[in-house]
Amino acid sequence: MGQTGARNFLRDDGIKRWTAAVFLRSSSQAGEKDGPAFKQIVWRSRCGVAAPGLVEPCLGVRSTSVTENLLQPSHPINDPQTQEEAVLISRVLSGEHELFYELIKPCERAAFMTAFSLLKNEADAEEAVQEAVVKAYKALGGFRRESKFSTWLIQITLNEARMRLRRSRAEYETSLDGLVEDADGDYTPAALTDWREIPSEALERKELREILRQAVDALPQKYREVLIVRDVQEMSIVEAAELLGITAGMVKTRLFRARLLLQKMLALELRAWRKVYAKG
Amino acid sequence: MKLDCKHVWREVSNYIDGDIDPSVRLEVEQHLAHCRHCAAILDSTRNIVYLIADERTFALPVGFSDRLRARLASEQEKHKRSGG
Repeated sequence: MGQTGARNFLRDDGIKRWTAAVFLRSSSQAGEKDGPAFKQIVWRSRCGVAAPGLVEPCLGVRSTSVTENLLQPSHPINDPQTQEEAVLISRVLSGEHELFYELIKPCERAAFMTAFSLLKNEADAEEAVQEAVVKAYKALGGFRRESKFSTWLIQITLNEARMRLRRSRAEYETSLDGLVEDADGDYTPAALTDWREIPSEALERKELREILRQAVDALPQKYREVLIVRDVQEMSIVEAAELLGITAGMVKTRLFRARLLLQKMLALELRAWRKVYAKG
Repeated sequence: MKLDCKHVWREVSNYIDGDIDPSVRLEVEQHLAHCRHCAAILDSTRNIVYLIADERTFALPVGFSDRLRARLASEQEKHKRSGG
């Protein structure tokens, strides 16, 4: 069982608490290994954003194509998904242009979340994804097939979103990020003495989704990026570090801070919300 | 060495991910067994992480895929016309 793959939480239904977390290479592998009962609790399969080497992401505003120097993959990937991608890419490059969307579709949500984690606005994130997809389409001939297409697309999207953010963002947010990062200070969680689980079914309530999204939006960018990449896109620590151009240790530290900040922002509010929800 | 509450908070994230040294994990669990405060912090953090991770929390905007396809088709058409 791969220890560096996607994370999946295990749920102990007997006591309705999240009781363990494991690393699994994929949901299908988990199913083979642990049987149907285990399949049910595997978080979900994901858009394969596995792990070729990436060069450091472009951080500056660039007027030329950001795809030019995005990837220098260091590890050939020969899994079936990549081989299917390779066939599709060859067909697109041979003139079947309409097939390009088949490459995009499995990872469009991951691309959107990547952009949204930076831009914090659906419309801006959608524009960034569209732009990134067009750039990927135009640069497809130069795509080095040692890496996964999805990783390449996510990297282009990240760069596109960062470029847009730099164009538009006020300086104060950058300095705020810096303060939080450097302070290493108060990560005291919200004080509680008990917690009653909010089940995932409650997410059918729009107001709960809004509460969660606003809290994520309120995180400093560097924490939000890591949180989205790890907890929403379910990348491994190594993948997240490569994508964001930071060390694995920084990924863990930022994720720890992001999660505790969320707990601090949300725990009491969610507990109050739960009481109302339970009545309603 | 017994962990105090602050040490446990620092391990909560790694504990949730299962990315924790077995000896530290044991100490954390021993602490959690008698500290309701830290147990509630772990439970709430894990619950929040799970809710954030659910696809419903950050769903794609309605019509996202259609608009993406349309934009792509438009670019492909331009590309074709320009002889690309």
